[in-house]
Amino acid sequence: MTDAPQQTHKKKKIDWTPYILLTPAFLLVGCIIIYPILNAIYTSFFYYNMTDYKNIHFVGLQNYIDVWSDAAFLESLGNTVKWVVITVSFQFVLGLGLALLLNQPFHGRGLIRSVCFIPWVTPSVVIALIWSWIYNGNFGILNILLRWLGILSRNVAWLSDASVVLYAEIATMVWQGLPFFTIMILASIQTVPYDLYEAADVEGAGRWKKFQCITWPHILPTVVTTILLRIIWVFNNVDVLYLMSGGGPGYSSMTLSLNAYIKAQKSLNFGYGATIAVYGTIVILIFMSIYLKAANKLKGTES
Amino acid sequence: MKKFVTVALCLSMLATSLAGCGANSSSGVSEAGAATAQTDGTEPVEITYWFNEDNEGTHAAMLLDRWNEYCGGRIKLNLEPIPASSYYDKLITAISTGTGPDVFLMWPSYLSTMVDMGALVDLSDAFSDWEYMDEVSDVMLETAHGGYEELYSFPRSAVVMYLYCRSDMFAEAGLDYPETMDEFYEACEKLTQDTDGDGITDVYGFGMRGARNGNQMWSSFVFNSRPDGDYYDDNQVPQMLAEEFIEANQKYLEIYQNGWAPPTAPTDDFAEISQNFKSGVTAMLYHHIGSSAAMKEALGDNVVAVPIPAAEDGTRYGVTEITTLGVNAASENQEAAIEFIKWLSSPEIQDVVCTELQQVPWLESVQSMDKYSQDPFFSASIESLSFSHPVPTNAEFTPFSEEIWPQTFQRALMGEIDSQQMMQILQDTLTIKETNG
Repeated sequence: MTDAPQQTHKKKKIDWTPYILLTPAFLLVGCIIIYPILNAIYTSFFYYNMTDYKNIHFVGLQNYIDVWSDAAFLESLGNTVKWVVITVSFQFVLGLGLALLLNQPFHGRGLIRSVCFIPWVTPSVVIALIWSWIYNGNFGILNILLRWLGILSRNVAWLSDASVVLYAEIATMVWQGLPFFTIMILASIQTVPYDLYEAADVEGAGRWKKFQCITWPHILPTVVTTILLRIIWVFNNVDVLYLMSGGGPGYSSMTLSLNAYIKAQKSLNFGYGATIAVYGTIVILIFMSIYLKAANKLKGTES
Repeated sequence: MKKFVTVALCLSMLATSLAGCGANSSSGVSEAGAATAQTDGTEPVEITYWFNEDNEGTHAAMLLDRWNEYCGGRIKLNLEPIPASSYYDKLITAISTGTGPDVFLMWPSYLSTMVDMGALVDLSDAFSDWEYMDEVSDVMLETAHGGYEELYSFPRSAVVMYLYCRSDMFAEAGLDYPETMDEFYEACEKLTQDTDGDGITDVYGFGMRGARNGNQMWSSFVFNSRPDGDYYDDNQVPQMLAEEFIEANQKYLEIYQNGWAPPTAPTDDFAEISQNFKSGVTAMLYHHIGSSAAMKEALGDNVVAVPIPAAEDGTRYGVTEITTLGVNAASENQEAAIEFIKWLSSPEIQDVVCTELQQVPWLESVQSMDKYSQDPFFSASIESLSFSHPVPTNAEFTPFSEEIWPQTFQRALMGEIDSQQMMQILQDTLTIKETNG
């Protein structure tokens, strides 16, 4: 009986060690993440143009209103949805297929696995330049190949034709991001206990049934996280789009992130650029919440 | 807990999309950080020079050797090449945050922004008694002043736009090099050919540039439609809605729409138009002497340079790209920086710079040297200098050339908007805001 109050007293004692150890990390995050975010939001309420340095002034919500009459912003909204949804979908489907393929035992599998990851480790700037020349409308290897195969009768200006430029860049991005899905899913597949497959064999399950009932439920958490990461990374991509077409011709390959970059870093209109970035963040949060809800529902069904 | 970690992870990554758009809250110019001050008179003064990397990679080391030879270690020079594509934003950001160089290469279009920021030293007194001042070309000095009474920048080098023509293709088509706009459009049409008879065009008349900086070639073929043609009139009102401009712009757009320029023209930048010309995809190219060495190497005698064609009344509108040098007002070593500019501008070094970088000399004594007056590309440049204009230097011009012109021009090429609508957008962009200081 007399021990009980002493135990309660012991529980209340706070161990500060973890907090002290974490303080440098929190400070660092505060300086390089929290402060820039707050500063960007603050800047978005200003006319903050570096080419008009003397006239920086508070404009309230004016930037937030102005974007809705900006053709570049409106077109970039639609392009962003296409850019993210199509890119991530293809990366996932092809990455899953490739992971299943690379999980099969075959001669030279190690080498093939290494080669498949090359696009992922290549810098985006290099990728953009390589693909710009592949797509070149006058000398590009893609046109030469497609004409040689008889698929095209004349060259296509892949990066100068408004109807194809975004899809050409999506193909580049799919090529670049595919290995990430492959490596994540492959790693996840390799953690599935083999005796489950043996038990399924005994039960007479076919390949599809084994995938559906064993592999898929096991890799689902990895797939959900990987898609989430890729949505954010693809959404934020600027380098590939800027280097390949600069968002053009016109606004045909302009996305929200690229638009924010051009406004802030090229036209030096930081206030307006920050406003587009804030809208972009809202859009990606909506994307993520829809996706996470759907994923959680799917996880619930699978479990 | 898992949910919390996932959300925290996502938020931290989302931050990257926002972080790049925050402006630095510092509203003034503070002390320079790049140079260290001379303290006791025995240590050398150190100055930092920023320049555009792309054109001057090999030139820089040679410059350093000559400088060290000149000053014998009195002033230590740090050369910092900056990538061309991000030069402007890096420079502006560095200066506004107090980490800018002591002396830097700049373009006239930077001037008003930098003056507004209080970032530049007035060089008027320092250069009033410079021994070569009488030799400086008027257009260069006028550009360096940029409309200010003070001399906030000093000329460094210049290039003048002209037309490269493939002499072999002109000879084959039986055409003379275009001197008028009518001849130019005729050449565009006639030089566009299906050379192998497969029904597909192989050679295009003109290498049109639709990406950024394409406004320079565009202005040469549009602004010559009026005797006083330019971006602004004398009262600093944009002239984009002049009927002659709208009509001339329509004709220029038709070069692409008629198939006389490659289908890639809307997004073609210098790399593409240059490659197209060298490989025979196009027969005419608008550029300056900076590319003459590469053209001669690739095409030998099959390339000539001619001045920009004139309108019916003889009006020509050339463009000169002048680079200048500025001294950071926050520099602790301004005298050393000014001495560096004077050295760089002296006839001997100007000759070295112009030869190495393929630039047009602007001191009379250098211009008259045989190596410049006898060279066909230099002579075309010097001939064109008389009717050439620098690009505007006001605050509106940066978003115009970096963003609005390429986007609007590309939309017009694709037929999304017509010539009138395009010029209206350009007019709105160039209109000087009343709030500007």
